[in-house]
Amino acid sequence: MNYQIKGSRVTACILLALSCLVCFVAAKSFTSMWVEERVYPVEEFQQKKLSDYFSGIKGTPADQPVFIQKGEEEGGTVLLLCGTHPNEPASNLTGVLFLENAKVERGRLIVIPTANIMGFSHNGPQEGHPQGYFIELADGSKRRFPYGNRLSNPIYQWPNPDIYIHPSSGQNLSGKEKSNLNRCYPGRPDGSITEKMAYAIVELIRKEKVDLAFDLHEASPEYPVVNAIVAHERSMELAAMVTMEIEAMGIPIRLEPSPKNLHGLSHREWGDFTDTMPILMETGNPSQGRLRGRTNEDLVVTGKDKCYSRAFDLGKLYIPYDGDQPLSLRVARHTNAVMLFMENLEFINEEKGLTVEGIPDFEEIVKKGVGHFLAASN
Amino acid sequence: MRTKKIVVGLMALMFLFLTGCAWAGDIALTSIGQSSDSMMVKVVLKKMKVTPDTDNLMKAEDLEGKDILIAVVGGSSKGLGAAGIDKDQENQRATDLLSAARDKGIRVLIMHVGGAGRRGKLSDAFIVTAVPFADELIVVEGANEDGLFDSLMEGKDITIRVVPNVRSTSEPLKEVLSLWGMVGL
Repeated sequence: MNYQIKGSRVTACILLALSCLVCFVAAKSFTSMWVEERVYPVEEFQQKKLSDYFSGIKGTPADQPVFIQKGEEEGGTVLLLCGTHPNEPASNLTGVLFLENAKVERGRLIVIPTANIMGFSHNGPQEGHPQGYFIELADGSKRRFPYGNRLSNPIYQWPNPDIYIHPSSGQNLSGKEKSNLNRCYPGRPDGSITEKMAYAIVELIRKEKVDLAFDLHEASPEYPVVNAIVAHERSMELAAMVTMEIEAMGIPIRLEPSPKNLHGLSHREWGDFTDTMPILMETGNPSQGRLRGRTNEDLVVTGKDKCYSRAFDLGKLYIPYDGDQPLSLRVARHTNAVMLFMENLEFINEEKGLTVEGIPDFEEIVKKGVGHFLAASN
Repeated sequence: MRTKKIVVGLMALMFLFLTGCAWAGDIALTSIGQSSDSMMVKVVLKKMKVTPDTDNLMKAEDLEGKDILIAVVGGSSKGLGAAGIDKDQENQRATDLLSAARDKGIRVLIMHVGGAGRRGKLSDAFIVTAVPFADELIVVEGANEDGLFDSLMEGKDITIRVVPNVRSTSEPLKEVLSLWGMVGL
């Protein structure tokens, strides 16, 4: 059978013009994420750059702000690394909460709010994720935060290999993990841009003599390691003490050991390659889970999802799920745990205590919402 | 005067020895399932000034000289991975260790401190293996809602000691260890 193409030069031009329009709109949408997140730290924080610790990333998209606040009394040094995976918003938001409220009285607090800054400038293809979400502030106004991707933006690192051979261990991983900050530790000074960024963070831990280092995350509610603390063996006793306190508050939590044979992750490599005590924490985020239904800003902020309610009824989830899992609850979990770790640090080493005031407690964050404690954007 | 003190001290030591009292060093602590819950129990014991011999991969031969075995049950895939063993190997180790303890007359305290969160297919396999060996059992609330622990203890004259959270295990731990002759608690 013969088909006759009915098009003409006019229809071809119309189609071409429509294609250009689609490309223009898509490109505009894509590039609209190339804006650095603005934060409003309290004035006691001193700002440095990550490249101050490894000059190899100076002037590259991996360089980013590092905020340090020193208390009047000597004590320990704690690193709060947030935003390793920009599609896990409770992590980034916890960092912002500390930046905009913390008053350090003893010791030093270092906050990096957008650890994989190269993942905040795009989001995952075919995931349907929003490019950002809004949080209502105390004055009723709304502040926008970016919702990014787990991996570094391919405009900075592309292509990835089929298999990523983790340099220091020789472990084989899926190729895309070469763009995953939390598979690249301890990093390499001459590696990919993500590996260089990982190296810079490890250098910061070494040079600042960080005693306790957090890497905050979120996980799918159906993933077994969720609402969890993962601790390197060096951090395990402190983590056990904190886990018991959290549990005594009626907050479900589990403590997991860092597997010695799983390489590239912060909770393993920070402990093996530096003297710090590494802690990784996970909360349950329905917007990144595979069972989710409609994916939009509302899901990011409220965690409400009918599919997850059904999955919970079927016993398929590892978090208590009563129809929602608000972002404020997830930030409250992280904040509460970080504060408890800092309070208990001196029981492990008396000289290394840290006292931070000004941070709202778990109940306050849940009741008033995290936005109540954030600065108005201007 | 000094000699008198030494004699009194020696007599006290002999009394404790003859009455079969246990010392911290006579207590073994292990995990069944490789979760970190055993570390939490270790912290509780530390606060009670008890330092047990701890090994999450403890084997039957390590029980030499021990009077009490505390086995904290809870499965963790990360923990099994960290230990480089699989579920079946861990279950076999648990069976061998707990059987040896029973054969040697070592008293076994089974603890499940992870509540509802430490239940599920993986943990349940270890619970089913370990709980029947228990001489005493301490469980944190939420873990026994389906009656699994009750059914495993059926026919045994043992009361399950249920507490609201891990921190609260110190009281029943003190009771059990005192009951078994541990001094200085």
